[in-house]
Amino acid sequence: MSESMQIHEEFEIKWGMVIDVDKCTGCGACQIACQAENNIPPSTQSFDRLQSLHWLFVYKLDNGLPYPDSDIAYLPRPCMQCGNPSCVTVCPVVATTKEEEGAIVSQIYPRCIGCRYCMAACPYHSRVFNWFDPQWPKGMEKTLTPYASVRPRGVVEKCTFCHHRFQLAKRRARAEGRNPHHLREGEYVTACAEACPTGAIVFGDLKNSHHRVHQLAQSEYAFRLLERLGTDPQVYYLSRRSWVRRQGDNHVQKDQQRGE
Amino acid sequence: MLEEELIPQGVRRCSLTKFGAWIGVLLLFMLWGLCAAFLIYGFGLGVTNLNNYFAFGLWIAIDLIVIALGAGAFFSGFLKYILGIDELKSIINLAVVVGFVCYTGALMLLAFEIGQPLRGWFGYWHANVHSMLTEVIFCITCYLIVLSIEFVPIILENRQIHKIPFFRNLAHNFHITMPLFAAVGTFLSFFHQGSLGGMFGVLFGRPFALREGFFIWPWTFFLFILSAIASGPVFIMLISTIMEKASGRKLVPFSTKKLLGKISGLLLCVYLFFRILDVWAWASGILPKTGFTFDEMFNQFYGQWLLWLELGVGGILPAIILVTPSLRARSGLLYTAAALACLGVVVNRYVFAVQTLAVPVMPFDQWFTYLPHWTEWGTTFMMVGYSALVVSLAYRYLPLFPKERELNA
Amino acid sequence: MALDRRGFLKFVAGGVIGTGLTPLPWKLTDDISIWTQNWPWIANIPDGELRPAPSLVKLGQPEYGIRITTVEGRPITAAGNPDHPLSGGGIDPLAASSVQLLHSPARIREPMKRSDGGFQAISREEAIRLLTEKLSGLKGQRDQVACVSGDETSSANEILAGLLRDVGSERFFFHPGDTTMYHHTWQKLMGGRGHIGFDLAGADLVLSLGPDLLESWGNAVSHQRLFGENGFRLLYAGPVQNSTAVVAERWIPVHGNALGHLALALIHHVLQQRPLAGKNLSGVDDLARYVRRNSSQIQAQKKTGLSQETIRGLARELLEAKRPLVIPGSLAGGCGASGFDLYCGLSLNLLLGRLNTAGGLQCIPEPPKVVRGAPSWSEMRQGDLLSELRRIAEGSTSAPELMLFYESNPMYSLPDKELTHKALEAVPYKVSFSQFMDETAASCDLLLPHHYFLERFDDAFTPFSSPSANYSVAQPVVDPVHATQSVPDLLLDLYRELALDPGHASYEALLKEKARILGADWKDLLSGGMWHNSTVVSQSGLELWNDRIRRMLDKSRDGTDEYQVHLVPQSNRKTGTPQTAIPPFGLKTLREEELEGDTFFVRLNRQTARKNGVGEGSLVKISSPEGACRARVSLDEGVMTDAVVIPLGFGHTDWDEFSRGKGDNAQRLFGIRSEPGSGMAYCPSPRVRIDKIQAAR
Repeated sequence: MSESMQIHEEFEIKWGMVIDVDKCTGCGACQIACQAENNIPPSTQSFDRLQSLHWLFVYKLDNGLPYPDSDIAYLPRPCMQCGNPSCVTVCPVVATTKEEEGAIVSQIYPRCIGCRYCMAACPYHSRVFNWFDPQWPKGMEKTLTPYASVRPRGVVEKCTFCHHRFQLAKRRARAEGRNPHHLREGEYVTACAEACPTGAIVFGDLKNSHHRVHQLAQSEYAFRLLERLGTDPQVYYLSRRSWVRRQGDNHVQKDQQRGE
Repeated sequence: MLEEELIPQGVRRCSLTKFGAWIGVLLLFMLWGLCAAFLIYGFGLGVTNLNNYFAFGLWIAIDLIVIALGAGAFFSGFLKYILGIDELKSIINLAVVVGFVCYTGALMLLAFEIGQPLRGWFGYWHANVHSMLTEVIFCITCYLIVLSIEFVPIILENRQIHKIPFFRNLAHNFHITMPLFAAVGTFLSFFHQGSLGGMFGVLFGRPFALREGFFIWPWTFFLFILSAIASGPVFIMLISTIMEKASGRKLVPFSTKKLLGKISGLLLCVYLFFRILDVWAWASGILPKTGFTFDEMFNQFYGQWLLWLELGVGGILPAIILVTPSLRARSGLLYTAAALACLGVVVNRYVFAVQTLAVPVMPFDQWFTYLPHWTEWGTTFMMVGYSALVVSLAYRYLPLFPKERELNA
Repeated sequence: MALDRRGFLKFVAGGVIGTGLTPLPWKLTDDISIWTQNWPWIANIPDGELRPAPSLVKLGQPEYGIRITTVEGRPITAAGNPDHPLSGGGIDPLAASSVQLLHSPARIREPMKRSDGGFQAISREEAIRLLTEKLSGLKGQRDQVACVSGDETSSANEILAGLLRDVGSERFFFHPGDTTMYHHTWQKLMGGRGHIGFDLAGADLVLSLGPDLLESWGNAVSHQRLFGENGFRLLYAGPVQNSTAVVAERWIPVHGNALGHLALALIHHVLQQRPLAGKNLSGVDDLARYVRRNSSQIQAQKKTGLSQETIRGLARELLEAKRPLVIPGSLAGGCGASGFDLYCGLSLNLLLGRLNTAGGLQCIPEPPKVVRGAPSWSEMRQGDLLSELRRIAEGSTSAPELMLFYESNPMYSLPDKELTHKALEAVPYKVSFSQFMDETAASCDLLLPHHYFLERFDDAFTPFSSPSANYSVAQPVVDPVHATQSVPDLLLDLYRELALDPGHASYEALLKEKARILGADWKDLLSGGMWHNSTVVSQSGLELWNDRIRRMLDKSRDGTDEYQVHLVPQSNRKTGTPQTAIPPFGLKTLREEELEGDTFFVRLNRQTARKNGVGEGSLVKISSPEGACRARVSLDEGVMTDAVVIPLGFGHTDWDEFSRGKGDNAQRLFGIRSEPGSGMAYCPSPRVRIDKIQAAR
C-alpha cells in the first residue's frame, strides 16, 4: 500500500463498539433510534440500499447451507470509524476528518461538495448521499432533534457515533469537575447501543481498560469487517459461530482465522 | 458585413443554410440536456440512476474518457513546441480546440455530478493535500486556463478580428509565448492525468481499483498518463478525419496522420507492456492479499470480456496495426486502429469508474448493476453537442488547418 | 498600439490582481457558503433545553416504561427506561418511533361523523351528544351495546365494561390473543386461578414452543434483555428460524400444528423418567394413560417429524435443568395457539413442578377493580370475540345496535375477512375511539379520537407474560397536538350524562385510587417507576384431566387438509402491532427481501420452492380456503420444508402513506375454528397453495 493511503494516527481515546452478533435478534430498534436521534428523514418506500438514507443497517447473513443445516445471523453495521479511514484521505475539501478527540470520523455537512469520492472509497457502504431534499410529513418536523443539523440534498452523510452525546457527556463531566477525557463506562453511549434490548451493542473507549469494550474486543471470538484491507475499524463483532466470523472478511483459501 | 467575410480566406465552406441546419441539430441535443439539467437541479441527483452503490457513473466515466482523449492537446503541443516535430503544425490548432471542448465539457458534467455545485470552489479554499482529487481539481482548472490561452490566438486569427491591430498584436504575443504555455500545459497535464488514475489506485477499500505504487503514486497514476498520451494523438486524427468526411475537403496531410498513428502505436506498446504487467501483478498480488480471486472481480454483466476487449481489441490489435508501417499506410486500417485504441481507453476508464464500485467487497454484500438514466445521457449529449458546436464554429470561421488551402488546391 | 511581451504579461497579471482586490469575489464566495447551508426549504431546528419525561408505551404488546426526551416541551426521541423493570433500558422499534407517530399523518385530528360516504368534522359536544343519545336509547335493552378493547391492561376497560353493564350489556370483548387464550385454557379448561405469568429471569432453561419470545410475544423487550444478560439457555421449537430461534442455543424445527404434540411427547418422557411427577395433581393418571396410548415414541416421531433421539434429548435437558420453563403460545401473537397447544405446554410445566416457583409459571392475582359497577377482570376476559362474530355472521345471535372500538382495529387484524366483515357490517352504529384512521375507524359512523399515549393519563396492570403483578402509569408529556380527548374522561362524563355514578371525578383520580389500593406510590409511578408484587395465587381446583380436556385431546389430530404447505405467520414490531401500522421510521428498516415497492415477501426454502415451481423473486399467489394474498418469494433456508412464512402487519387499506397498500394482509388467509372440548375459537395456521403468477427474475 502506498504512503498516501496511510494517515494512521493514534488517539488517546478511541471510541468503539463491540457488537455481539449472537445476541442480535434483528429487531431493528437500533436503526429506528438512530434515525430519530440524527434527524434522518423517513421514507414512504421500504429500505433501498441504493437510495435510502441510513446510517445503521442490519444485514441478514446466512451460512449458505440448505435447511436444516442452515443458520442465520443479523449484523448491524454502523460506520466503522476506521483507524485508517479510506474515506478521509480522499475528500478533496476536508469535509470528513478523523477527529482528534475520540478518534471518530466526522462529516462536515456545510463543507461537503457532494463529489461522493468518499462513498466510492468506503467498502462498508457506511456513507450515503442525500439524493433528494429531506422531507418529513407535515408536523413531524416538530420531532427534529437539536443533535444533528438537517442535511440538504447534495451532501454525503454517515454515522457519527452520536458525537453530540460525546460532547454532552464531556460537558457534564466538566460541570461535575471530572476529567472529560476519562468518561466512565456508560456516560457516553450511542443511540443504537442505548436502544438495543439484548445489549448486543456495547459501546466504550477501546483504550480504557475499565470499559467493557476493551476486554470484549480482545475476545477470541472477536472479528472486524474486512480487516485485510487495512482500514483498522473501531467496530468489533463477536460471534461464537465460525461461519459468521468467516463472513467478516474475504478468504481466498480455507485460511486460518482467529478463533477458528 | 456578410457572413462569408468571416470565413478564412481561400477556403470553401458549405452554405449558411446547411450550416444552420447542422447547428440546429446540435442545439436539439443540447435542449435535451437542458431538460435533464432542469430535472437534476430542480429535484436532486436522485432523478439519475446514480445511487449509494454507484456513487460514480456515466458522468465520471465520460469525464475520465474525454480528459484522456483530450490529452492529444497537450501531447501534440509538447511534441511540436518542446520536441520540435514541426509536421504536427497542421493539426495543432485542432488539437487545442478539441482539448478545450473536452476539458470545458468535463467541467460542465462535473457541475451536474457534484451534489453542491455552488460549493465547487471549496476545492481550492479548503484543499486537502492528501486527496488525489484535489490534485485533479487544481491541475484541471489550471490547465483549462492554459488551454484557453492557447485557444485565444486561434480565435484572433479570424479574418475580421485579425484586421484590428490590437488583436493582431496580441495574437503575435501569444504565439511567441506558446512554447511556455505548452510546457506548463504538459507539466499540469502529466499530473492531472496521473492523479485521475491515482484517484482509483488509492482506493484501498476497493480491491478492483487498488494498486501498489511508486512513492505516493499508485501504478494507475502512470498507466493513466500513458494511455492518455497513447490515445490522444489518434483521437485528434480521428476528429480531423471525421471533419474531412463531413466537409468533403482535405484538411490534414495523410503523412501527418500516419505520423500521429505511429506515435500512438509506439506509446500504446509501452502502455500495454505496463498495463499487462499491472493486471498480472494485481491478479496475483493485490487480489489474493485482500482475500479475493480474479474471478470474483467479474460477474455476468461486468464480465471478463470487458478486460479482453480493453487489452486485446482496444490494445494489442491497434498497437500492431499502428506500429507496422505497411498496415498504418492503409487509411482504412489506420482509422480503424485509431478508433480501437480510443475504444480501449474508453473501456479502461469505464471499468475504473463503474466496475470498481460494482464489485461487492463485504462477503455478504451483492452485485448491483448500473445503467445510466436518460438524464445522464441527456446532459452527456449536451456536452457532446456543445463540443461539436464549438468545433464546427471554429472550423467555419477560424483558419484551423494551415495546410487546407494547399491540400485542396 | 503596441503591446510587447512584458506589457501583455503585465496586463494579464494586473487584471487578475485587480479583480482580487475588489470585494466582489470574496463577498460572492462568502455568500455562497452561507446560502448553501441555509436553504429556506430545509427544516431548521430550534434549540432549547433537553428534558427527560417518563412515559409508558401503549401501542399494544409489549407495554413498558420508556423515557421521552423533550426540547421546550416538544417530544423528540424515545428511549428505554433503565429504571423500569420491563424495559431495563431496552426499547423496541415501534416504541422507538412512537414520538414520530404522535405526528403521524394518520392521526384523526378531531371528532367526526359519517356523512355521504365520507367524514364530517363535528364538535366534541356534538360527538358526545350523538353517543349519549345512542346509549340512552339503548339503555336497559339487553346486550344491545358491544365493545371491543385492544388494550389488555388499561383501567379504561373497567370504565368501558362498567358503562356497558350499566346500560344492560355484557358484550365486552378483548381483542383476541394469547392473553385471552391463556385465560380460557387456564381458568375455564383446567380450573386454574389467577392468570399465568412467566418468570424468565429465574429460569435456567427456557423452551419456547412456538412464541417468538424475543420479538412479538408478551413483554418481548423484557425477554430480550433477560436473554442478553445470559440468564438462561434458550431453545426454540417452531417452523421458522425467527428472531428467537436466530439467537437461541438451538432451533428445533417443528411445524406449528405439531407443537402441542411435541409437548405431549415430552410429557410422555417426563412421566417415564419420573413416574411420580405431578402425583399431587388431579387427573395426572388419566393424562399419563393418554400419552402412553397416543404419544408413544413412534407416534410422536410421526406427528412432530422429530427423531426419537431429538425428543428424548430434549426431555432429558428439561429434566436435568434446575429451573426449566416451557412456554407454549402462538407463533405470531394473535390467537394461533389452540387450547390444546396451551394445555399441553402448561401441563408439561406442571409435571416438571414449575408452578409458582422461581423460574416457573406464576399465577398472578387479578387486578383490583376500581369502577364500582364494572365486572371483574376475570369476567371481562370471559368474552370470546371470534365466536361472537361468527354467531353474528351466521345469524345465530343478533348483532348489537351499537359497537364501540377502543384501541382495537378488528377490521384489519382479525382473520377470516369475509366472516368478520359480515359480522361487523351487521352492526348499525359503530363508534371508534382510535387515534389513527385505521380500517375499523374508516368503517365507523362516529369517530371520537383518543389522545395519543404521550398526551394522556393511562396505566398498565401486569402486561401479558409478566412474572408478577405490576403496575405502571403513563402521564401526558405533551399538550394534545390535535382536537382529541381523553376517552376514559369522556366516558366518565357519559356516565354522568346517563345519570350514572362512576365513582371517580376523573381518569387521573381513578388511577390514583387504583395505585392506592395496590399500595403503590403515585409519585414513584409518575416518575417512571413500576410497582410490583410477587404474591402468587395458590391453586385448589386445578385439574390435568376432565371431560372437556379428554374431548379436546381426542379431536386434536390434524384434520384432512386441502393443501400441502403450512402457513407460518410472523410478526415484527417494526411493522406495527394489531393496534397500529407500519410507523414512518419502520418502513425504511424493511429490507429488500421483506418489501419491494408495494409487494411484500413470503419466505420458503429451496426445496419447497422447487416443489412448488417457484424461485427467488417469483410473484406468487398464496391461497387458503379463506382467501388469497399476492407476494414475492424470498428463499430462506431458515424455514422448514413445506412451510411458507408470511409476515403480518402489511396490507393496510387506510392509515397513511407509510403503510397503506404496502403488501397484503396475511389475516385474509386465516380462518376461525372452534375447538371441540375447550369450546374456544382460535385461528390455526392453515395449509396453503402456492401458485406462480410471474416467474423468478
